[in-house]
Amino acid sequence: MTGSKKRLGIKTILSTISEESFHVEIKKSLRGAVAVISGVMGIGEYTEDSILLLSHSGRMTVVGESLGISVLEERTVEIYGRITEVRLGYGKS
Amino acid sequence: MASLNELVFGYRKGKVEPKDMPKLTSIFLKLGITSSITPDGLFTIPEKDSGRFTAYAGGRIRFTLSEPLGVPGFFIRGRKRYGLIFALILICVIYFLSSGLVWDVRVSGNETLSDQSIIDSLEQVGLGVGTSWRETDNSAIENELLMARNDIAWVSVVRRGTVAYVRIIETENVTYEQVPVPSYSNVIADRDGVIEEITVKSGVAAVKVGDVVREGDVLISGVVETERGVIFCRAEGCVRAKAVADVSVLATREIKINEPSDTSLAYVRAVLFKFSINIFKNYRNHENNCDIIEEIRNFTLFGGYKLPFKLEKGYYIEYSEATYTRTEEEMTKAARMELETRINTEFRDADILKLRTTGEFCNDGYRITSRVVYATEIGKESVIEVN
Repeated sequence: MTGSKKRLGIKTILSTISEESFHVEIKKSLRGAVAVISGVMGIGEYTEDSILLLSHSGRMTVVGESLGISVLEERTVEIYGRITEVRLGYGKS
Repeated sequence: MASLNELVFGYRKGKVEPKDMPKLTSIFLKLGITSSITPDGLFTIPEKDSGRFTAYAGGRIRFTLSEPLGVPGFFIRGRKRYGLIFALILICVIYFLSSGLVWDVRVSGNETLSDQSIIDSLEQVGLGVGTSWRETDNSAIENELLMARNDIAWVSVVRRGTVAYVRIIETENVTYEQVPVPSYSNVIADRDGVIEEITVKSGVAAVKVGDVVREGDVLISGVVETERGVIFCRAEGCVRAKAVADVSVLATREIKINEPSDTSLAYVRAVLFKFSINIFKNYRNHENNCDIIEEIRNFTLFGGYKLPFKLEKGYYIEYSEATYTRTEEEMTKAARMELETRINTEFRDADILKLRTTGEFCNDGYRITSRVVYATEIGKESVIEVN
C-alpha cells in the first residue's frame, strides 16, 4: 500500500482499496462522504454524478450525487458529496 | 468558499467551461496547486500560484480569473486611497507608541502619605505618566524611591498593560519616650486597702501583711537608716492589697435612637465577571447619618448554574434622631450588660474576690450597683525631695 499516511477517527468508515498506485480513505461528512485519494495523475471526466480519476496503472470512477472536487498537494484529491460507488479499472491510462 | 489561508495571503476566483474541468483539475494536479472546483466550473486559486497557473493554462483551456481578493486584494484595490492608507499607518504608529508609554500610576498601601506626594516622588526618580516603559527599570525605580524617601519602608512597582501599580508600606514613626528615673523615691499606696502581700526589692518595708493603709501612706520607704547614718535610695517592690470599690450604672428610661426616615436609590451596577458598568449613580452627599444597603441579584439557569452576570443595587437609608421609651425588662438588661462591661474594664488587672450586686428602679430609670472586693497592686512611686 502506498500514498497518504493520514489517520482518520475511530468512527470513520475507513475503506482502503489497495491497488498499486491508489490509496483511498473515505469518511462520513455532513455532505455525505469525503474520499481522499492519492496517486492521482489526472482527471478523465468530471460531472456532478461521476468523477473519473486516472493513475499510472489504472483508473477509478467515483459515482454519486452532487459530487465536488478539491485538489490538494502531492497529487492528492478530495471528492465530496453523496458517494454511492467506487469502481476500479486496470490497465494503462 | 475561500480558506483562512487564502483570505490572509490572497486568492482569485475563476471560472472554466464545464468541458475543460477535467483538464483544469489535471493542471492543478500537475502544478501542485491546491484548489477547489465546483461542478459548475467555479474554482479558487491562491494568489501566489495565479501567475504560474495563467502561464501554463493560458493556451490549453479557456478560463477567466478575477482580480486579487482577500487581504492583499484589499490593499491592491485601495492602493490609490491615500487617506485610508495614511489612517491605517497612523493608527499602527499611535498604537505602537501609546502601548509603550505609562498611561496611569496607581498608588496603594499608603495611610498617612498622600497619593500625590508619592506620584511626585516617582516622577523625580523617573516614573510618571508619559514615561516610556522601555526606558523604565522597575527595580531601579524602587531602589531610588526608597533612597529618596525615608518615610517609605518598602515599595513595589508592577506593570499591567499601560498602568503602573505602585504598592508601598510606610515607615512606622516609633518614638521612645524617655521616662526619667528618680534617684530617691518611696512606694506609696494609690488607694485604701488591707495589705495582703509585700515584696521589697530595695528600700525598707513600712507596712506588714494585715495592715490597713490609706491612700498616700508610705508602703516601702526609700530612707534607710544604717549604722553610719541615714541614706536615701530608690524604693522598689510589689505590694498587693485587698480593696473595695462601688460601681454604679444607671439605665435611663428614655434613650435617643436613630430611626430610618428616608430611602433613596444610590446606584445600579451591572457586573459581568469582574467588569462593572454604572447604569445609575446618585452623587448626592449622604455620608452623614446614612447607611448604604446593597442588594445583589444573581442570575442562575434552570439547573442551578450561576451565571457570571449580576445586578447590584445600592440604597441610601437616612436616619433621624428619635426618643424611645424602654420597658423595665429592657432597662434591667441594658444596665446589667453595661455593669458587666465596666467591671471587666476597670478591674481587668485585679483578682475579683467578692461581688455583691443590687438594683432598684428610680424616677430616671434603673440603677444597678455592685460592691466589688478585689486584690490588686496598690504601690506607686513617689519622689523624695532631698535638699
